[in-house]
Amino acid sequence: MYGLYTDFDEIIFCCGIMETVEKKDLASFNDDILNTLQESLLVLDSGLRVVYANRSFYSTFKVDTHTTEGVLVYELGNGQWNIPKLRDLLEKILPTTSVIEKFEVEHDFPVVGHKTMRINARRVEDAKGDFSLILMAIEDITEEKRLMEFTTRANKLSAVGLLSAGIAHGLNSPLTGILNFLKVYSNHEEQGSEKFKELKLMLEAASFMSQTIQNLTQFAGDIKGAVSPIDIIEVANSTLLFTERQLVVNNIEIVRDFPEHVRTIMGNKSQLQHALLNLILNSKDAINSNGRITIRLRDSTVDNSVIIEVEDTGYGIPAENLPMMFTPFFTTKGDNGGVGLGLSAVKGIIDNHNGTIRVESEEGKGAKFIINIPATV
Amino acid sequence: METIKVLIVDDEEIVVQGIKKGLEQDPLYSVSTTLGGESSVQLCKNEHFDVVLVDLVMPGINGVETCREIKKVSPDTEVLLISGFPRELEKYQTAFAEAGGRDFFLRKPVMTGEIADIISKIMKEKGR
Repeated sequence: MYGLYTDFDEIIFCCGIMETVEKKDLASFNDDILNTLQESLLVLDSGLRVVYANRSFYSTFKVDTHTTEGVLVYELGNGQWNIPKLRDLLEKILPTTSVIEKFEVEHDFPVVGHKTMRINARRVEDAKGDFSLILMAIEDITEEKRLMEFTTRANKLSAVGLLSAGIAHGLNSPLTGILNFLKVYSNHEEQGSEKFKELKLMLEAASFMSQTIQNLTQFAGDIKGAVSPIDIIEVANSTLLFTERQLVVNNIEIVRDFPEHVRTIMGNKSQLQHALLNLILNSKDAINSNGRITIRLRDSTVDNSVIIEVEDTGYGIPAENLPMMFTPFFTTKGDNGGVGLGLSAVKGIIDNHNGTIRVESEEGKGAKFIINIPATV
Repeated sequence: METIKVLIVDDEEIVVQGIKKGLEQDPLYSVSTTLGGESSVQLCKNEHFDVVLVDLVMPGINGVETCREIKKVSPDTEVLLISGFPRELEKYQTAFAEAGGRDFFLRKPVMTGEIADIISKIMKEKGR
């Protein structure tokens, strides 16, 4: 019964449409349909000139009718559609198959930026072959792709989390022994002797291993940590206690720009110390020697949060590297630096505290990392 | 000053020897070691230790059980938990406290300076 009703309804609906259409111009009706589509639609003639583009095409690619219609597809928008993969599709593949589905093309457009498109194309000809059109439906799947990559990355991270917990467990024990032995033996040697220097090198290397393991587990979100009310001033002071000597040796001045009090945040003290330590060491590496690191703490004036800034006078970050700063395994430090986990660990920790971190920098003009963590109510 | 007797319990030789080496640089500490939970309980029956440092994950009885058994035979011995597995440390925090352990948790790789600081804090609390 239900099926019958549906068919009946459709017939009535279609009759209604036809009546309406007859009253209107058929071309404008077609236009209405095509403009309702979310996909961008291009109709090309056999010479690959645009005969028609729908509204979605104009809005997605930010172009207008008179620079589009009648123009060779490759010349659209100052040649921004001159995409090698699209040329292959239109000139090599389509003439032989007449239908192409789900053909993916990635391209950086000067105006609308990076786009991933899924293209369905069809060649339409009349029986004699006098008349030939190419219909091209272009679906913008940039966001879909980005989400997919994000999910894949999240899955990878959770795998890395498990792996790194295993690595941490396996390596932290032997490192406990190694670090303590090396510390004792280096203390026994005369400072400046060859043996002392060698033991110091080993000690530094073992500490570096320990740091790397810690970074690995933290960026993978392994340590959620015990949470308690935290005074960020105390966290900053205790972190500087560890590092100040090392900084002074390198002629790096530390400026503490702390108020009397800042709001209390809920967090994990050792994680926050670790985050701040990573930022300070990062600044130290950017300065090398002779410079200044400013740690600035304050209450936000716009919301109930605390702002932590770490600013240095180092070599800064080139614009093209800015988006990569918190990406795991991205490093510019080369062989003597790290494996690129320091800042991603910091980001992991700040994420755990429901906070945000961003960086402002210009090449040659230092860098400023700005953290924002919600305070307790 | 009276020496502080410390027992280090871990299933890995390099851990117990490394920590022993570090702590013994200060003559204040007299350090013994053993490689398992069960044997540490035996040692505590025969000898009094001020502080026992016990690894969480070991074959046989784990750090929490070891602590419970040690507190049975030597109630005034202070037991501290150590682990290379931060997540596990947190998971067992409450159970360890219930077993009579102290609320200091040592994360491997831990340096003996840190251990010494904690021990001296505990000793001060006890008026030593």
